[in-house]
Amino acid sequence: MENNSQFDNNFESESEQLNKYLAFNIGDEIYGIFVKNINEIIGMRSFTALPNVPKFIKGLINLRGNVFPLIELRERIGLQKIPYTSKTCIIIVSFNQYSVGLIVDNVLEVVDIDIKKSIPPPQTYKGTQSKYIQSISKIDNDEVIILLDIEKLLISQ
Amino acid sequence: MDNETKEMIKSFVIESLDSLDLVEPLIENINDPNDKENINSVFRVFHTIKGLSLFFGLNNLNSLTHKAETLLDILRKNPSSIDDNIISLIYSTLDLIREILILVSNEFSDEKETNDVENMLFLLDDAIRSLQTSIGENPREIIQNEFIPNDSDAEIINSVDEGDNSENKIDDSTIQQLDSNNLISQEMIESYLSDTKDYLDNIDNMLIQLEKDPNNYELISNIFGMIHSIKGNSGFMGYGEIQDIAMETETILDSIRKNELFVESNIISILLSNTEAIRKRINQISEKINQSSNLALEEEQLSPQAPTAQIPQQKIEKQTNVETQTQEQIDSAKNQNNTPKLDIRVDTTKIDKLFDLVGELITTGNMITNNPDLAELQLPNFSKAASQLNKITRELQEITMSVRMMPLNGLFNKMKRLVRDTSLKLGKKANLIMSGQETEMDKNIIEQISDPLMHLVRNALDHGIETPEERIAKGKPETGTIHLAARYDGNEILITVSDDGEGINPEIIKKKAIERGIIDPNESNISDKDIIQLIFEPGFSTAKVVTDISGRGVGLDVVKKNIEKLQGSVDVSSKVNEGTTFTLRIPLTLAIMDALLVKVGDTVFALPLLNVIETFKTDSQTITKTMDGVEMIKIHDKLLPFIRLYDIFKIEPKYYNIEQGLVLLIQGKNEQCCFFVDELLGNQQIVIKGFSDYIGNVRGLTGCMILNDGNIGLIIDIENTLKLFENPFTIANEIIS
Repeated sequence: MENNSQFDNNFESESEQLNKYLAFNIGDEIYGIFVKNINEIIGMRSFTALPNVPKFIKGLINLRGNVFPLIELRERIGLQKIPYTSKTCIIIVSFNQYSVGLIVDNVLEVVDIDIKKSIPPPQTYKGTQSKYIQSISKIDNDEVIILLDIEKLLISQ
Repeated sequence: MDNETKEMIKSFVIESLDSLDLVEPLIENINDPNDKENINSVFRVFHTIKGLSLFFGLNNLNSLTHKAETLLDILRKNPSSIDDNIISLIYSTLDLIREILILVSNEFSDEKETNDVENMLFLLDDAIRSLQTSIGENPREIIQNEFIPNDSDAEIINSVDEGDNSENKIDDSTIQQLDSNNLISQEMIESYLSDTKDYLDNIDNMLIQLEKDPNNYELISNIFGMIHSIKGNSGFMGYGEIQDIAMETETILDSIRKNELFVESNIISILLSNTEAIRKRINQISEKINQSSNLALEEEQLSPQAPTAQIPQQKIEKQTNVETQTQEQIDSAKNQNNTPKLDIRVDTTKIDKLFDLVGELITTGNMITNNPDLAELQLPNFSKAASQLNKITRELQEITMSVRMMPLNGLFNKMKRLVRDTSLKLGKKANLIMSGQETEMDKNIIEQISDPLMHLVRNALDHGIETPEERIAKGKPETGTIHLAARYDGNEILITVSDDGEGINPEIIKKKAIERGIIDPNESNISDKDIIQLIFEPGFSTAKVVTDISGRGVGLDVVKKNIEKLQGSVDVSSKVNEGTTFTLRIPLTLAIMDALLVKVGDTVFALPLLNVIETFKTDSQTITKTMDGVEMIKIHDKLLPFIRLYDIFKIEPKYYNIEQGLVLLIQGKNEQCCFFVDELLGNQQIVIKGFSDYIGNVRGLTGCMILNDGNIGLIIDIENTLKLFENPFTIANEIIS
């Protein structure tokens, strides 16, 4: 909804971005987040742990005077946490008034996705975590990319 | 619509809203036959809005205020016919005007409100008609009795032709109103003076521009509009002389507008000398105000000596004369402009930005002066400069803070209205007694406590105060009393809402709490005081049953949540049949505090410095452990809770051993306790940051802060931490709604 209205206003200049997704790894799978929601990508860094919050919220980081919560994306989508490596990155994303950092295993590249050719998550795949999936698509080299629904990822219980 | 007109409309909206706020509390007493000033003040505000809305082409607003004015005019001649219905009607008219004004400030048009306005006009018409029949007055007469400042050309020419006569007429009536008038407050006069000065400065600039660009119609209209505002405001404030000069100026401008008069330098000079004459009077008035508060009288005394520029008479003949005079006057105006202004209007977003910047400045200042790179060095000169910097930033912070402080007056006045409306609706009788309205608070906090406070007042009426019959049966006075009070208490403000109603029956609360599974039926030893606090539990709010039986509990959890968001707290105490008191404790300001920094494991925690009584080392001899594993410490002959922060916040500490760590003696709101930490880092002024919208509130913490090394520290909420210690099972993972 939010994005649609933005596009209506400014369709010409935005249409280029319509199909651009940032691809990243979690384990062997490739995931994608719509680039409009991404502010920046930074390397993993030390953070302040926060007590008494849900497990997937790791803590807080300070980025040029602004405080961002850190979400362990693995734990958020129901996967096992693994130790951080030199490839671990934080993707700062924004949705509505929320801005958070998502911890991912490895950031790949920005890819073009043909939304028309992507499919909804298969019925059989509808586990509890599949609600975070917006759709499943393919990138150039025929690899499968799972596009995440940023709204559900941040807000859903 | 050009930007300047938009600006003018915006300032019209702001001023009108201000005046509506000022007169709103008077409406309740407009039927007081001994004090006609109440109704006159309301009348004048409607009148001013009417005139200006016509000028800006806001037709709905104009017709609405016009009709309201007609009604008020009838009423002020027949105060005895004012009843509750009429007062309610005036209130709702005022609400609609306010609504329209807010719409206008965004859209610069009032067309969207046409339906509402038509409905309201219908109601007003109805009231006017029924009044007329009951009084037997001829409607025509009423309309003639109004004086309508009209921007239509005919009107203005008319007033010029009639010359002094018509002006005197207006003057007399306003001055008469003023005689008995103590209700134009100091504040109103001050804002009038500063507004007029601003207008005059603008007009002077525009006139000079106009001289270079004589055919700029827009410019003429703008000047006309401002002069018109000065005229209207001066009339409202009772400064007839200024009103006259403004009216003359307006006439000249109107002639220019209609191409009857051409813009030449002598005309500009005349106009400038007029603004100068107004400015001179304005300055005299402000001087007088500083000396004395008896304004109306003073103004009349000073007017004869004040030099005037009678324009219509002098008009073109004395051009040369006027010109030289004007130059002098401009010079003297420049000098006068050097005297300090009473106040200026500043966009609140600018103030908020300033506030944020001061916060950043403090953080950055701390980062520099406590920079780890400098830790090992001996830098006497640097330290001197650093402490000077700290002193100045602190002063800057205090000033910035004071800018946002506002008295609670406005908020409390809203409650007056609320009590009146609600009690009428419920068929109950209640008096609202207020005290401490002059207490000042951060403007942003005032906005945020408005809803919770309204909720509490409404609750007091709805569930606290009984119906008149019940009260009589109980031997209480028929009219209930709600007391709203505010006062300072250390670093906090206390606001209490108390009623003398039926109170809260702990037995009923307890029964309900057990039914709803909020408390365990076997837990019999909860004190009544604690039971009553259960009304703040979320489970209670949704329960309609509770309202039916004992009252209270509707949305009180929301009140509590909102107040806690401000780092404040809510308390309730009650006695059956004697009444209930809600106490809000709210910190004076949110953003900055003096804190003690401590370390537990790798995490840095900050505590409000005011709450830390002392720090000391101790040994395990002083600690007693109960069989539940709860630890108590013996200190100064008292036995206090011993709270290991690493336990509460689930951190791996450096020291588990009591001998190695450090103990802080903490003063909570009602009790003392001890915190066990690894080490002390020192004290520092910190800027409180929230945990971002995403996380919201975290149990046991108020927020976070940026440390000198760029890492993030956590700020401890002492009350909340104590609660976590007393009842660790309530540690819920509350988050993300």
